Amino acid sequence: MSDNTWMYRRRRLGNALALVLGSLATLFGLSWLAWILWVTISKGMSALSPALFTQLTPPPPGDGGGLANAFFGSVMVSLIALLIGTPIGIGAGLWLAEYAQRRALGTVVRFLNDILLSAPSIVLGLFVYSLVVKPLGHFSALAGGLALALIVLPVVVRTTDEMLRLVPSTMREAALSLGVPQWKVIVQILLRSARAGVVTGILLALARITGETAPLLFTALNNQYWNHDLLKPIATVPVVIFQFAMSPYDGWHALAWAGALVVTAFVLVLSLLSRLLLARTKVTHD
Amino acid sequence: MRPGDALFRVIVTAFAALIPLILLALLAFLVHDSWPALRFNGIEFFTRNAWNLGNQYGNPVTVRGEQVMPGASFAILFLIVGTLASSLIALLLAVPLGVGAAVFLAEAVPPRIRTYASLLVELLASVPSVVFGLWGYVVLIPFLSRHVYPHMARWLGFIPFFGPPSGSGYGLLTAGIVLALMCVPLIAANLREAIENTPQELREAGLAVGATRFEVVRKIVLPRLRLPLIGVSTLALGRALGETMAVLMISGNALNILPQNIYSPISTMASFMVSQLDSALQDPTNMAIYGIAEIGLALLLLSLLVNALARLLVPRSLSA
Repeated sequence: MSDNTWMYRRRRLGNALALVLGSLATLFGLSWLAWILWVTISKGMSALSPALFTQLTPPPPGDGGGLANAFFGSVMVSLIALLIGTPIGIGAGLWLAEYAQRRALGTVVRFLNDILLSAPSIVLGLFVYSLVVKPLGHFSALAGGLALALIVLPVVVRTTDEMLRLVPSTMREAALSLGVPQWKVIVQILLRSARAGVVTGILLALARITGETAPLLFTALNNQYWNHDLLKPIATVPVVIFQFAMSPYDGWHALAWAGALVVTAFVLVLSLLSRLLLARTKVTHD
Repeated sequence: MRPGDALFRVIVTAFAALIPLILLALLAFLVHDSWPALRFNGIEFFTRNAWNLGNQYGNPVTVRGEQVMPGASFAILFLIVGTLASSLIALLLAVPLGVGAAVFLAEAVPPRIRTYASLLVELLASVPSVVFGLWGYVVLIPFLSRHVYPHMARWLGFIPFFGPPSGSGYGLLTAGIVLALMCVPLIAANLREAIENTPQELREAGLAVGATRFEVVRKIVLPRLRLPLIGVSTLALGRALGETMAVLMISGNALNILPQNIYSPISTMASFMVSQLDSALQDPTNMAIYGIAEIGLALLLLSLLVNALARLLVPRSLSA
């Protein structure tokens, strides 16, 4: 066998080997996902029942009951976060895309937004703890919502900014040349055509805060009872999962798995939805 | 400028100004809250292993101008070691896996299936951290401590820090593994995008001179991505450093001890802040709460540093 053939075979082998290693790495990664999902589904399904959504979290030793108050709390806290974070985020994103496009100040704010985006959520919780919880003297749903709003904000800023910059500048110019005021151009034309992208950002932000636990332990804390007073501590699903998981009671464990199943399914659906939305419509021109 | 336009501009500018203001307030509040602790602890905060609330039933004493309970001391060397060690183990595991997955997805999977295959990998990133923790606590730890760690300790014991005792499963390596699972999708997603953005001509040029597909990747595509890869890994490091819940549930929550081997229990700065909150709130002098704020300040500065570095290295379009 000549040197050349040998070399050729070796290179072919290297190619095949790399392919095998790459596919193994991918499969390995996916197998963990499959493991986690399988465990969550199999353990969560057995505790899934209508009572989960209609009954309160049970006192120890935790037989029966559900997570109704925790679901309600999660919805409330997330709503507060979205109500605060979304308008501010869209506004700041508008400023970045329309008024600070090629300015140094815009680059700085964009950079700071990225930094805020990756700040540890526990530190944001600690911040809201000393901003709201300490002055009020007690934990509250409002503080929890505020902490999550700090997570929503940079996500929405970023997607709004990026989506608006994808809108062709001819649309701005056409509208402005017709004598439309700039704010109307931005709100009624640019924001409208980037609608799908902005909604994607909000969905991504919601997906991110749905499973958030650490900042809530410093702000919303937990509550065994039904609570609709925003100035009182409130139960949320991730915090209850944590509390129940670390307890010695089988009933609580089952509820923790059921909660984990619902939260994971919700988050997976949200992120799937947002990605499909993003893939299909970069920017629409209607 | 029309009044409507001016008003609109003022409003959105005010909203945008909130971003730097929030960051400033974050720093200012943490410095303010940790000020008594900064004065009381001094530099020893980072150099000793002594987190001790003191005698909670004694009378407060004044040390270095601050009121503390007798015998109290706050120092977190073990948290810094735990945080850095678990994050580095996570990176060591996640980078090769992430690169392998990214190369495979971008180069070997047909474009039609690629979107869905990469979607699956990225879904791993959206599993909530408390669910990772629950799974780690109930499923992974018993599995590792019974079927994996004892064998590792026996057969790999010649490597430093790999020897027995193999521990209970709660510890450094378990935390590293779970953190790695959270980092792999981040690395794979960003790197795959960068690989796909490599100019097609370069790839074709490589293939035209007879290089195999893998040779094109290794000699043409990957060398151009060295900087983005470092950036993405740094981004993943930033994420691992601040991860709280999963680590809290599986790390063993060590107090005042350094890990003896990779199976030893640890605590990280983020997880310790949560696990100590309850007892810190009982401290009548509040010094324990100031101490927690000081941990938060240190963690924030560490993560700001790491993330700023990452953002400067990664082209912006990549860092999702």
